[in-house]
This record gives sequence, C-alpha cells and structure tokens, in this order.
Amino acid sequence: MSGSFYFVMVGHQDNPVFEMEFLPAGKPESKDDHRHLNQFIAHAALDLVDENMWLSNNMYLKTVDKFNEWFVSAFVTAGHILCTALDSSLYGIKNFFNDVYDLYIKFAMNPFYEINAPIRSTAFERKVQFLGKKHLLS
Amino acid sequence: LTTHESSDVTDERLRPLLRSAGDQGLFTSLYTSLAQQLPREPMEWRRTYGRAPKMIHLEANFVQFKEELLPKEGNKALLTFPFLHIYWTDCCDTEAYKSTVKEDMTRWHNSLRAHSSADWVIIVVETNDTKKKNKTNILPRSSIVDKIRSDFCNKQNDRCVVLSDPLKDSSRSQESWNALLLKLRTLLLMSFTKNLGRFEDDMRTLREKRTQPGWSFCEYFMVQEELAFVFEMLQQFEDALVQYDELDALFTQYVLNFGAGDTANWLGSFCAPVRSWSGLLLRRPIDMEKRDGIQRGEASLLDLRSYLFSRQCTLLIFLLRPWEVTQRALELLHNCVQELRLLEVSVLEGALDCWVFLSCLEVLHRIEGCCDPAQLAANCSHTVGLWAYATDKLKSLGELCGLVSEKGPTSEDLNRTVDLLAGLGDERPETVSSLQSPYKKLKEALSSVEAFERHYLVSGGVIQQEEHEAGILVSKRNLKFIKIAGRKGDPERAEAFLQEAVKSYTSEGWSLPVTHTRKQIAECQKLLGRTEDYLQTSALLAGDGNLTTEERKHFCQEILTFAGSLTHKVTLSMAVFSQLTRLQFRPATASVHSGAVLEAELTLRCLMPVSVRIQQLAVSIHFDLERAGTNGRSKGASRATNPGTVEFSQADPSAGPASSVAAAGPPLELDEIQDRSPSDNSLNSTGVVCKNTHLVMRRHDTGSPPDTANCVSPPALTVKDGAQMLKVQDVTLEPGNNSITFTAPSGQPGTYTLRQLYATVGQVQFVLPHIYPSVQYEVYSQEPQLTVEPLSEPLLAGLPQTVKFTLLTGHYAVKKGDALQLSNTDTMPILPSASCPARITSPALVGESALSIQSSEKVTSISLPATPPYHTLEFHLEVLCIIPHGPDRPANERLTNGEVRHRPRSYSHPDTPMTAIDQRMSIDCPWSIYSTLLALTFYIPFKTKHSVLSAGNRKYIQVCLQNVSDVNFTLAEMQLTEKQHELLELQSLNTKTQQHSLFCLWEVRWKDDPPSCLQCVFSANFSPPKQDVSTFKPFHYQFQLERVSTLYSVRAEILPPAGEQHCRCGLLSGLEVCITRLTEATEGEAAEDSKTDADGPKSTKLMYEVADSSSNWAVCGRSSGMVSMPMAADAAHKVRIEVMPLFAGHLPFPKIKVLKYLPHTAAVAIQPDPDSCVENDSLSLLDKALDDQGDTASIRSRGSVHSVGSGDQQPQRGVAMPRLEPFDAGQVFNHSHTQQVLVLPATDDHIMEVNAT
Repeated sequence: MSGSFYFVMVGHQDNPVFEMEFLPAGKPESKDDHRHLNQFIAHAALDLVDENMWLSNNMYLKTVDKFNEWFVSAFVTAGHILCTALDSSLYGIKNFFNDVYDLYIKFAMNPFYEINAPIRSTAFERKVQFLGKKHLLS
Repeated sequence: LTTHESSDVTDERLRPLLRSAGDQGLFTSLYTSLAQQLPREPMEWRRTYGRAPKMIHLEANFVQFKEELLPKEGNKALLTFPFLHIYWTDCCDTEAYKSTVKEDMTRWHNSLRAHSSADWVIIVVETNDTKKKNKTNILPRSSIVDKIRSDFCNKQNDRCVVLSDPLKDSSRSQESWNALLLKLRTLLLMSFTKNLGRFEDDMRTLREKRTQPGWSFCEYFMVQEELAFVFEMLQQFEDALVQYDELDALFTQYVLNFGAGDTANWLGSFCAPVRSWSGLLLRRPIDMEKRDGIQRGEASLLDLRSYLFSRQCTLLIFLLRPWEVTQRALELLHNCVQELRLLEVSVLEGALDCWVFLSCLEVLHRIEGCCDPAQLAANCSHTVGLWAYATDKLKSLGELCGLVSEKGPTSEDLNRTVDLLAGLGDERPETVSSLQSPYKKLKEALSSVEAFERHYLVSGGVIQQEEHEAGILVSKRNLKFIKIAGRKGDPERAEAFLQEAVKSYTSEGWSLPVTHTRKQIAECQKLLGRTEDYLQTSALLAGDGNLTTEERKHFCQEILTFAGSLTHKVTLSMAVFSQLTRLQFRPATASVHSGAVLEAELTLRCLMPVSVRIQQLAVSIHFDLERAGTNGRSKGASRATNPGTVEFSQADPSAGPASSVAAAGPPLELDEIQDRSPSDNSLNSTGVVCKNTHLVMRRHDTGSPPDTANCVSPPALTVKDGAQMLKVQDVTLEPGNNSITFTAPSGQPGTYTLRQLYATVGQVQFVLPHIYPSVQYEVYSQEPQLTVEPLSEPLLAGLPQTVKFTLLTGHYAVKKGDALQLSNTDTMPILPSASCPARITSPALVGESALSIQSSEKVTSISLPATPPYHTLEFHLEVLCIIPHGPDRPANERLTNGEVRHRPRSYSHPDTPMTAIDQRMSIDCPWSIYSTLLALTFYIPFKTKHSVLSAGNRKYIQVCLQNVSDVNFTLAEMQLTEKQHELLELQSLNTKTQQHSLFCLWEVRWKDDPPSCLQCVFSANFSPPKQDVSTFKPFHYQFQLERVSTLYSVRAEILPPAGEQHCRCGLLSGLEVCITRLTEATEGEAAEDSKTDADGPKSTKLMYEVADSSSNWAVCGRSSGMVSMPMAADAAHKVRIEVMPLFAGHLPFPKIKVLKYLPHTAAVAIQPDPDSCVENDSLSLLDKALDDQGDTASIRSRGSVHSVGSGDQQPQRGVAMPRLEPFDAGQVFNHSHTQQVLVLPATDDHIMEVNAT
C-alpha cells in the first residue's frame, strides 16, 4: 500500500470529477478493499478541506487530514474545485497540484466541458498520469 | 447595640451591602418593607469614562454594624464592601438623645471617619406613639433632627432623614417612605459610583504592573472578578461578562506568548501535569472550590478554564443567550486542548478526551436544563457540533481503551482505563442523584465494551437526528459511525447509519463507497433477517459493476437461494434486477382489429451476472373501453414517427455521476428570435429565448435523490391485479439485453395500457410498478364496409362499364350463402357476365373464387364466397347506364324495396364538359337490416343541340352531336324521325363524314299545312372505334319544336337620295321596310289574340324597330313604330324610315326587329316552359340575326319584356301595361338579313392641283 498514491478532484456538489490512482512500478493492482478505502478517506476529508480553505490565502492547503499512514493534502482551485490527494510521502505534492491545476484550467476552457461534470478525457488522464510519475513516484 | 449578621455571598443573587447601626429593634421592624421597596423603582446610573447611563434596580443586603468589619486600608474586596452606613434612631426625647444616643452616634461616626468612609446616613424615625408617650416633656420634634443635623451633618443636611409613622398606612407615612427610599437610592448610587471608580482605577493600575516580576494572574483575576461580581450584583450581566471576557483574552494572550517563547513566571502553576479531568461544572453559579484554588494559585489550566467558562455560562444564561454558550463551549474545548499542547503540559493519554466528553455533555445538559424541548429542537444546529465532538472523543477513548477492537480490551487497555477513571475523581455532589450525569455516562461507557457501544451509538444517533432536523447534510466524518456499528453487535442501528451513508454517497456520486456500504448493509440485513431488504440490496449488489464477478455471483446466488426457500412472496423493485429498455409492437402501428395478432417485443437489460431463469414474466394491462370504436388506423398514424417502438431512457446503471448531471437540470431549449422592421425587412433586433424556463428555473430539490433506481429500500409496490396480462412462462434471462416476445390479447376493442411488469423467480417477484413513458396499443372493431367504385374513371353512360365492389368484412364473417341483393333499376341494368372472380385479400391474396350472380326481375343477387373477418373481398361487375332520351320524364316509380325511386337527374359537372348522371344503387347486405345506398356517377359522352333554320317558308332542322368524352366513337345510322305528322318528310342533307362534332341537317317538307309543332327524335348508333357492328349502341335524342312555320317576312330596301344613283355618305337615304303576312291565322295565334278582337277581320299588332348597333347608320326620326297587321295571308305593311349612312363602302343594312305587341288587356303572359329552355337555349342563326344583343334570347326565354319607349325592364306580371313579346325562331324571316348597300363617300369639294412639268 505504501508508495501508492490516490488523487481525486471534487466538484461543487462534493461529487468526484476525476479520480486517479498511482501505483509504484512493479506493484500489483491494489485490492478492491483499498480502492473504496481511498474514496472513503478522501470523502471524509472534504469537511476538513472546507474548513481549512477559508483559513488560508493559499490554494495549497498542505495536509488537512491524516488517516493511519495516509496524509490527505488538498488544493483548492480558484473555481473551488477541490483537489485532494492521499499520499504517504508528502514529497512533491505541491508541484503536482500546481501542474494539475494548470492542466485542469486548460481542460476547463474547452467549451464542451461542463464544470462539475466528470472528466472523461484520455488525454487529461494520460497527462495526469505523467505528472504523477514525474512528481510523486520518482 | 450593634450586632453582627453574617454576609452570605453565595446567595442566589449578589447584593450591595448596607450596614445599619443604631436601634436594632427599630430596624428589624422596618427591614422587610425596606428591602422590598428599595428595588422597586429604577434609578439612572451615570457612569464614568463616557459609558452610557443605565437604569438599574437597587437591591441591598442589610448587615448590622460592627467596627471590626469595616474594610481595612488596601482591602480590595468589593463584595463585602459596605456601600452605605445607616444609623437608625427613634429617639424623640432630648434627654435620652443627649445622654445615650448622641454618644453612640458619635462613636459610630468617628469609627466611620477613621476608615474614611463618607457614605453614611442617619434616619430618625418618628411615631405618634413616642410622641404621646413623652407628651409632658416633649420638645418640638424638629429639635432632635435639628440637633443631629447640627451635631453631625455640618454641611450635609441631606445625611439626616426623617421617617414618620413608618408602620402606619397614612399618606404622610407614604410620603416620608418615598422620600427615604429616594434618598437611600441616591446615596447608594453615589457610593457605588465613587467606590467602583476607585476600584476600577486600582484594578487598572494592577493590570499595568503585569510586566513586573512577581505579578500574578491569579491575584489580578480575583480583583477583576470582584468587579464582575459587583456588576452582576447590580444585574449588569453584560458588564460582568465583559470582565470575564477580558480575563479570558488576557489569559489566552499569555498562553500564546508562552508558545512564542515569552514566558511568565506565574504560568508555572498552570504548566503542572494535569491530574484531574473532571470536566466543566455548570450547575453552580460560582464554583467556590475552583475559585479558592485560583485564589491560592494552585489551579491547573483546566481548572481556570473551567471556572472561567462556568462564570461566562452563568452570565450568558442570565442574558438568555444559551446558544452562545454552546458555541463558546465548542471553541473553549478545542482551545483548551491546544493550550495544553502549547504549554507542554503533560497529560495522561485520553484524559483530555475524558474532559472534553464530560464538558460537552455538561454543557448540553445545562442548555437542556434552561430551554424547553421545542426550543431545543429548533436550535439543534447549535448543539450538533457539541454532540459530534463528544462522540468523536468517545470514539477515540474507545479506541484507546480497546473497546472497539474486535478482541476486546487487553490488560494494558484496562490499566489505562483505570487511570483515566481515577482522574475523574469522585462524582460531584450535585449529580450524584441523577442517573444520566455525564460522569456516570463516561464511567459506564469505559467500563465495558457493550456499554461503550451503546453510548457511542446513542450519541451518534443524536447527531444524525439533529443534523436531519437542522437540515445539514450529513457531515462526512460522521459516516464513520457505520464502521464501528457494523463491526459490532447492533446491526439494526448500523443499518440505519449505513442507509444514511449510502444516501449521502449516492447523492454526491461516489460509486465505490456506495458499493462498499451496500455490502455492509447487506450483511446487517442478513443478520437482522430482513429478507426483503436483504434481497433488494443483494440484487443491487449483484448488478453492481464495481464488484468482482465472484461477489456479484454470490449475491445473485443468494437471491436465487432465497427465492427457492422462502415461504411467502417477496416483492422487489424491478430496477435492481433488470431494466426495461425497449418495447416494440408488431405491427408497428400498435393498433389491430379485434382478434388479430399483436406481438410486443420487450427488451430487458438484465443486470445479473449470471443467467437467471424466470418462471413467469408478465405485463399487466389496463383495459379502457372508452376509446374503443375510434378507428385505430388513424390514431396510429397520428403518433410519433415510429409508433410501435418505445425507448425507455435509463439512468446510468452504475451509481455514478448521473446524479450530478441530473442535478444540473434539463437542457435548455433555446430558440432564435428575430425582430425585423415591417417596412424594409431589415433586422431590428435578434435574441435567444429559452422555451423551457419553467423547467430550468425550477428549484431542484436536493433532499430527494434524483435516481430512484439507486434507492435501496424498495418502493411501495401494489401488485395490481389486471384481468388481462401479457405472459411468458419460463424465460431465461442472460446477462445483458434480452428480447422477449409477448402475444398481446386483442379480444375486445379498446385501448390497452401496459402498466406493470413482473418477473417471478420462485417466491421473489420483481415488479416495475409503472411503465413510463406509458405504452398503449389499441384494438379496434370495424363494421363491414361495402364500397363500389369505378374501375376506371370516368364511367361513361351508354356503354358497359366495369365497377369494382370492395367489401371490408370488418368483424363480420361472410358465411357461405350470404348474398348481396341489388335492386335493379331500368336506367342501369347489371350486365350478366359468364365468370365473375372474387378475390379475398388480407391484405395478401388469400383466395379466389367465382361468384354466382342471379338476376330476377327486380333484384340481382350476388352470392358471396365465405370470407373470414377483417378480410377484403373484391369483385367486378359490368353495368350499363342508359342514356336518358331527353326531356321526357316518366312518372316516379317505386323500387322493389319500397323506396322512392330516385330518377337520375342529369347535371353538368364543373370538371368535365360531359353531363353527369348519378345512379343510385340500393344494396341489401346480409349483416345489416338497412339497405346500403351507393351512388355512381356516369357521364354522357355526347352533347346534342338542335336548331331550326328557315329559308323563306322552307324549314331545316339541324342537330349537332358533340363527343365530349376522351373516347373515340364510331357513329352510324343517324336519323331523325317525327312522331306525329306522318305526311312530314324529313330529307337528310347529310354526308357521311366523321368528325368530333357532327352537324346533321334535315329539311322539313310538308304537303299541305306547315306543322306548327314537331316531335322529333334523333337517333344514332355509336360504338367505340374498331368494334363489331353488334356492339353499336343506340343513342336517342328527343326534342320538340313549336311554332316553326314562318308568319311574317320582312323585306327592306334602301333607297338612295333623290337624284343619286347610290347612297352617299352623310346624305339621308330612305329605308323601306315591308312586312308581309305569309299565312292565315294559325290556331295558336287565334287563341292568343281572340280576346282583343272578337269580331271583324282579325288583326294583330306588331312592333318594329330599326337599330344599328355597329354605328354604321344614323336613324333619323322615329326608329320604331307599331303596325296593325290583319291576320290574312299576303297582308303587307310598308314603313319608310330616314337613315343616314355614316361611312362609305358596302354597309350592311341596319337591323330590323319585329316584335309581337300585346295590348294591356292580355293579362296572362305566356310563360315559356322552363324545361324547354334546354332545347331553346341554343339560338338559331335567324335568331341571332334578329337579336343584336346576345343576351336578349335568355331574357326572352325567361319571359321578361321591354317596355315601349323607355326600354326599362319592369315587372310584368299583373301589371296592366302593353307588353312586347318576341317571335319564336323561324316565325319571322328577314329577306334582307345580310344584304349590303354601296355607299359612296361624300362629295369631295376640294380641288386638287396637279402640276405637270
């Protein structure tokens, strides 16, 4: 479990917009049980993100919650899309968020994309995957 | 005389202290009314430092004076501070005053002065009793008061007050009471202002010293609290609260500074390890125990905070602001935990959790104690935070003490529990008796696993309930309850929590947690034995794509196992099992006649991971008779493009983001509008309108989950027992799309609505309660229908024509032997034909059989072959419509069935030049008692005209036969016959040429008398070209000619002017008209004119008129005149008229009209028969020559006349006016009809010069 990393973007109705799981190379597919656990933890942290984002001027909220060995970091975009990441290392997460934010802005400018709708773009997915590898797993 | 009364500061309310000295007995008698009346009136309190003045009610405690109780210098206690000293005396005796009272008073005064207390008052009580008693040696009563005043109040006369007869109820006593109370209040306030001001100054000074070493917060705390007490005493709770808030802020600042490295020495005592975590104590107004601890500097941080908060809480409740308490409490609890961390105080693990838990419950208890339940429920949004925090802490305690681990607490856990319980100390005396004290709750919760869970879940339940009531979305953190609840004993409660959780996850669209939670729900439901719910959840899980196939199969198997083993029927929602995606009708119109086959193909998307065998799949039908009978076919056509197929839109089957999309509302229906100016069509404005604003702008109800398919609990199902059902037995549904074909019942005509869909698996029934959009099919019943139509248009009369009989049998089955009875008519006989095949179609050809047609005199009977219902029977018959001869009309006949025979009337049709004849047929059908009346329209292919031509006395009859149809005909044997006059010879002058229009001419020759009336029949044979001679059909045309013989001949001559050989333009010429009678009076004429001249030679009057419409001639003088003509042969009459030619050349003669002149005595006008106008409509050539105006003929034929002179048309009937009547064609012959005369130009007077060179 350690070394893996879960990233979720959450829309205005607390609905997941984009989800991605990063597994370190050579690790097998995580068990089903853990997959829902990731969502559970991320979901449970949303209240804390809501609390924290008004206390800071920064978009990056650092660690908002902790569950076992997992740190929940959050990033709030200007449009109030919450980016939440579950991570055990905390390394490089800020850069990752910034890059994903950049990516998301470009994506959201697509007139065919509706804010809050789930992102189903393979290009976006691939790019996030790349960013994850670059900042988090390396 | 002075006695001491102990002061009680722990009294319910704090009161300013008044010390009374003097006559104790007197005071005791007055005390009650004084204490009561003092606070009755408010006083305005003006305060220092610009604070707003306040109205306050003063209450006081009265204490007996003791010298040793006077405050020492530097004593800061305000609570025990005597604000006013009162000396009571009722002395009225000068001696007594001098001997004892004065001395005592002086001592009292001195001691006061020694303590620099300037707030005092002396009250002299006077009663009538004392006056009476000392009547003898009494001094004026004022003298004692004056004495006292002079002795003590050297400049302050107001310090001595007289109270008269205090115990009597008189106006005087009342007055003096009021004066006394006012004085007391004023003095008391003055004292307050002065002393408080001094105290506040001291306090500030002390606060400014806080940076100096040796300053102690605890000391300062006591001082400022003293001030707070005083404010509380004066019921200025707001001000009191401010004091505590200031202390709170000051302390917090110190702790924060400590965290930043700036330590204060006095903080040391607060850094001591926490040994007691007994929680807040809010049940006493002042917790003296803790206060003493603070005073001694021994209080821990928690003690200080607890005490401070308990004071704030008390004041807030006095201020009726209980919700602020809860808010502050939550802040305080979080704050304290942080402060302990900042101060690096060592705390036993879990101790803080205990403290927080107890405190939360204590606060909640306090709030509950001061609010009624309704108020509490309305404000649960304020308390839910505390509940949540308490539950959180209880949970962490449970984790700490091993109460939530599956193995139960270890010995280490138990030790820790004991330590924690020790720190709670003994239960406070206030709560010992109550069963639900926080202390007991915590102790019980920590004592055993079961008790812990009970308490934990209770508080969890409270939160959920409160959140619901407060309308807050269930906070995500609280979903964690479910875990612990699910793991341990209480599945019922756990299930409720889990359902809540699922609702929350579903509405937000987190699919994986939904799946996981549902799995837990399934476990709980299985444990609880809620079969129905369990099966529902299992079905949901079996169709959940997030699970592995094995898990899905497991849940599916569960359903199947239960379905086999259950004893009662269980009804579940269809949505969890499969989805209806499509329904298709065959035939696609979804409308059949009764008894026909209608198939409905259902497409079901089965969500199960394995194939499921279904015992029965049924669709209940609602039958509606109302719309039966309407023609189903037209209904079907008016439906959507593909009426037979209904697509059922489905939400995303995975509990996914569909909900968020749905929350976004329906798509906008936008439309472009353009506003163009009407004059030049230029664009004024353009815009976009939303057509469905009412839908888009509608408030979305966030409360209900949009996707009912994900609703876990099955909807309330009522299995409606429809009499009719679509049923299929034993179907195996494969995962994915399945197609099932039903045969729909179509017995009765009407509308069938598909209502519910059931799938039965053993005892489990999956029901789709409503099929939406609604699906209907129609069954209609049709009456038999017989139509007769021409096989080819148009039907021509006179020739055999084929007509097509089409019989739609409808619901009627044609049996063998059924026959159509056609009433024969003379004008349209049915031609027998050898073989008459009938085709039965449906709509494909079913069979073919020969018809037998039997004709009797009146009826033609066509026996039909047996035909099943809703088939079409077609056969052809040949009929002939006989062309009517002409104007003659036979009398009405009756048909065989008694109906009045409708004589076919010919009429002209606007579309075709042919004359149309409607032939009615009356058919008796076996299915109806009524005859079917049908009309066929035939067209006469010929048009015939006749006319009489005259040449002097010779007469010619011309018949014009015109073929107006599209068919070519061969005509033969044209002949004209006359019925009446045998001697009459009709000589044909015809050639044999064949043309499109044929003119035939006969000369009428007679031997002796010219006939006055001729009954002629024109007959010809015709046939389509290139046909045998035998196919020739006769064509007859009958007509009557009347008054054909010529009566008068008109001869005109133009005489050139005298001396001229020719007429000359512009010169008058003479027109000589000679009218000659050619015959004797005929019978008709004689009858006509007999009335006018009964005797003498018969004569008739004629009117002549010369008119030239072409402006060739100018008639000079009279153009018309009347002549009397004897009715004898060769009688002649000559008229000369002056005319002038206007042009040169060969000019036609001016027209000369001769008209019958009927004198006014001839009352009855001859009305021409209206029917004769058909024949007479055509103008003969001679007529034309006579009448220059084209429409004169029609005017004449309708019997209208020109009046002489004026030419106006006037109503003629019954008016005694002379009338003019034209002659019939051929009665007047004009010899000079087309004659011309040469007219020379006028004499040329001009000289033409011709030069020759």
